[in-house]
Amino acid sequence: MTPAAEAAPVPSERGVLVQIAISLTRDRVSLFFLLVLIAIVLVAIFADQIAPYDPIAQSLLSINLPPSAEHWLGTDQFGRDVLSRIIYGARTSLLLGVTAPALAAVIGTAFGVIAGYFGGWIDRIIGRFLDIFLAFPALLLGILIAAALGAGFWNMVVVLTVAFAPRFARIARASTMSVRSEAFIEAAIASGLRTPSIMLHHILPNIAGSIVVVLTLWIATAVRLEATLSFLGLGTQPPKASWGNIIRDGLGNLFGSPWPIVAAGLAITLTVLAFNMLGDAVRDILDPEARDE
Amino acid sequence: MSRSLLRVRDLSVEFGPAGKAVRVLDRIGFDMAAGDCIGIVGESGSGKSVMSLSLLRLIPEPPGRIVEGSVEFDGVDLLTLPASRMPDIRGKEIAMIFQEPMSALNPVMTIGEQIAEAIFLHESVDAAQRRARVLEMLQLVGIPDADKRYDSYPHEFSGGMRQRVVIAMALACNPKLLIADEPTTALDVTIQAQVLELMKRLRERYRTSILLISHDLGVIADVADRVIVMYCGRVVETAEIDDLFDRPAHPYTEGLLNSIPSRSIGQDRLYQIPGAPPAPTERGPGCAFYPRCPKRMPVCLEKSPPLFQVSETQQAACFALPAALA
Amino acid sequence: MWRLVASRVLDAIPTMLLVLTLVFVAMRLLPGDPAVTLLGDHATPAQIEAMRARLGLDVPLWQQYLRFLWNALTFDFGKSFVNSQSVAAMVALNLPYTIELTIVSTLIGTIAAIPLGVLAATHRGKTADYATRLFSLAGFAIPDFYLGALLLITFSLNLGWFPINGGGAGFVDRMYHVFLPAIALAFIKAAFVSRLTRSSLLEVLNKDFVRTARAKGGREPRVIYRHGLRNALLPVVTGLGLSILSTLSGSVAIEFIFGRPGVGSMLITGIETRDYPVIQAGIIVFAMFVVIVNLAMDILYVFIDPRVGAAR
Repeated sequence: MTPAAEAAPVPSERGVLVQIAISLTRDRVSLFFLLVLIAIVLVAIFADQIAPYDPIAQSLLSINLPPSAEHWLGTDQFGRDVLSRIIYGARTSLLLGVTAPALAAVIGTAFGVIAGYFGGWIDRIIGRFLDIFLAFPALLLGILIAAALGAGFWNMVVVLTVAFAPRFARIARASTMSVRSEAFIEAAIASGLRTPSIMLHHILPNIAGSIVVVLTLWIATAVRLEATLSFLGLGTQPPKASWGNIIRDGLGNLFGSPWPIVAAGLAITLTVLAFNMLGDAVRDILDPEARDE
Repeated sequence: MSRSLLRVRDLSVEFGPAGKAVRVLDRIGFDMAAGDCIGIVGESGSGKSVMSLSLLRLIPEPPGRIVEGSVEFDGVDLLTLPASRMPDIRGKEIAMIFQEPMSALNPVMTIGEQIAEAIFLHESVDAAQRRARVLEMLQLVGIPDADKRYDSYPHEFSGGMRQRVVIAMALACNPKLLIADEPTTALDVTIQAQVLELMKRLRERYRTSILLISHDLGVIADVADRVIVMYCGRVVETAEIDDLFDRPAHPYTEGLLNSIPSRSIGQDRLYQIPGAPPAPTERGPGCAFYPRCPKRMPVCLEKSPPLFQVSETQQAACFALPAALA
Repeated sequence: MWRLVASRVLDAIPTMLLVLTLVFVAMRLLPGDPAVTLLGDHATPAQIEAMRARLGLDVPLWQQYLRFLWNALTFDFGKSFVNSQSVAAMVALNLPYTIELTIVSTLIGTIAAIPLGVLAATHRGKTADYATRLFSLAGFAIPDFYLGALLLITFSLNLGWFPINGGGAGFVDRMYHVFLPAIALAFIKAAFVSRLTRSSLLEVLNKDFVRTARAKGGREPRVIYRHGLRNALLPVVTGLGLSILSTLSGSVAIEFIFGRPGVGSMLITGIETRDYPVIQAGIIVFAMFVVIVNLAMDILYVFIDPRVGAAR
């Protein structure tokens, strides 16, 4: 990962969004996914209004119904409306998929900046810990921590945060080290500026670009991670709906109806793709040298 | 009268997409006889590297394109050969060495293997003979301890040594023509002298013709018998080396010579040709040197001057020449 | 060179200890009393005490730590709470299946991916390139368990071409059982490796020494493979370790879907049944795996890149 050019000016707030939108609309495929993303977010926010049924309401009379006008995706082995479960699943996945990386970004960046700024033994210790955490694939780390902590929403947040924070820390550390050696930092120190102030007002704005670039991409990964953990029974617990545990329930009901699995999986795939596209667009704007074209 | 080795006529190269292509080389032409050592001099942007690459058809096809011209080597027009025949010519008939010795060699192959590969590609000798040839070449280019160094990797050598390896690789199959594109530019001055000395020695021994490209007149003066001066993708003057220095015909050449620091001794400032060369996209129908030329005339803006014969061995593309005004 | 190898090995030891320590910390210093969690809300204090003794929680923390380390390093994982089987034996039974899955899927994935990457790099901008990029995008977005489930439904359930579950016995039978799960994992792997190969090769083909190879008369295939790929694969090999580990983590879900024996499914079952020693063993085994694979990759790299050996 190349840190964003230190001197690259961070575009103004409104400018960035407009630029991202422009960058995405230039390419019809990207536009499609941007719309998908907006749709998913809207669905998650307005789940209560959109979902035709209560996602956890069971009905012995309506077990494994095929798709119909009343149940667009049919029902599962508990008589629950699949479509409603998928809609509410969007809320779970997005909630976790966005909160955890955001938290991880804050924590990870903090450690990374400290390590990169001070160097020396602080850097070595933090670096050693980072190396160990980074040696583990995120999923494995997630599984191990979830196994120890148990399931549930907040545990999930902890798990995902611990899984992603080191990755943010590594990038923040590398970016900080390269910004640290810039002349204007020396000037700031010489003029008597205090360390926390330097970090906040000089280092942070300059590394923000590379952090944001990875943030969007890690959101995509977080959604996928949450789904996998829920699938394994380590994440969101039923009856609360998550795309991952919908697939898990679906596996236990293979002969009843394939629709839960197909639909939930498709939902995950689209969401991950959409965030991935967003991430690419953000990267193209903030760090054009990172493109591989 | 030696036979003609290389006849280049009207060689033109464009870069860019079909509608908006930029002409980087414009109808280059020159002759080379067997045994000649010709220097091509010009600043960055003059197109000299593009020209050397076109001779071997090494211009990357998108975005570059050879759009017209002929390159007759030993009687055969290389530009009309099927592309599959070019690898047989490269390395065997015509060899080329480049500017950056630090990156010219494959980092994961030993230098012995790389030189041996050059032989392997063109001649059918067995491995033992190949190795013997490689050791011979290494000794020839002045690399001590050849037997041990055969198994060394490029990163274990300094820049000057790597360039020697590159030269050994180029000459391994005894090519008729060696094209050297700024071979000493990236080296220290003392190493530069050694490498040039080596090239001269090898030329003596193998009777290789050399086409040496450089922006440094001093380097050219050291090695070449004849010089071709390029500016903005065109040949502006050709002359024997002494004639060039004593009686430059083209205003650009005069400017180049005046820019040599030793010529400014006794004056307050170093001489510079005023202005800068136009970018390829900015070149018009007239002479490319017009904006900076002390001898410019209205006709220079309208048409591009052809090469006029100044003497039996000297030509220059300038309307202000006595030969042209006559 | 061997000195470098030795230093890598020595370096891995404190890493391993640190990792095990982190596992210990994670498992012991969490909120809540494991004994209570296991026994439920209606346990009597006496039962809780007995359970704590059983769990080894009644001795000072540092003693627990040392005992933990010793047990981990000697593979003494205790007995299962569910069926009193030796957990070490369970691990020994399950491990080969996981390793088998990991190796087969890594092989299939990598062998399929490299030519794809080369194809994409050499036909840049054309159909093959876009197809490969689409492929790698799909591989990133489609969750491996989703793909596994789809494959299971289509090929095992509906078409009946492959077994629904199990690991198989005997070499051929095992290959038969591992095939579909391996494909699911290999797809993801191939998507990633092909993308990496493509970008790595594109970068290498721009380098000066490739131009030299052409200038000395090398034909395109030789230039691309002998000079280009040989250098382009270095980052791929570096990524191999990470790649193996990500396959390993994906195997947990895949084993679950296909009803395969393996460390992953052992761990999941252990979690479901609150089988504490099994959970711990599973975590330790995976953790050790990570350290060992990283070490193996470090050592391998010393041999592959001649420049690494020289840099001191």
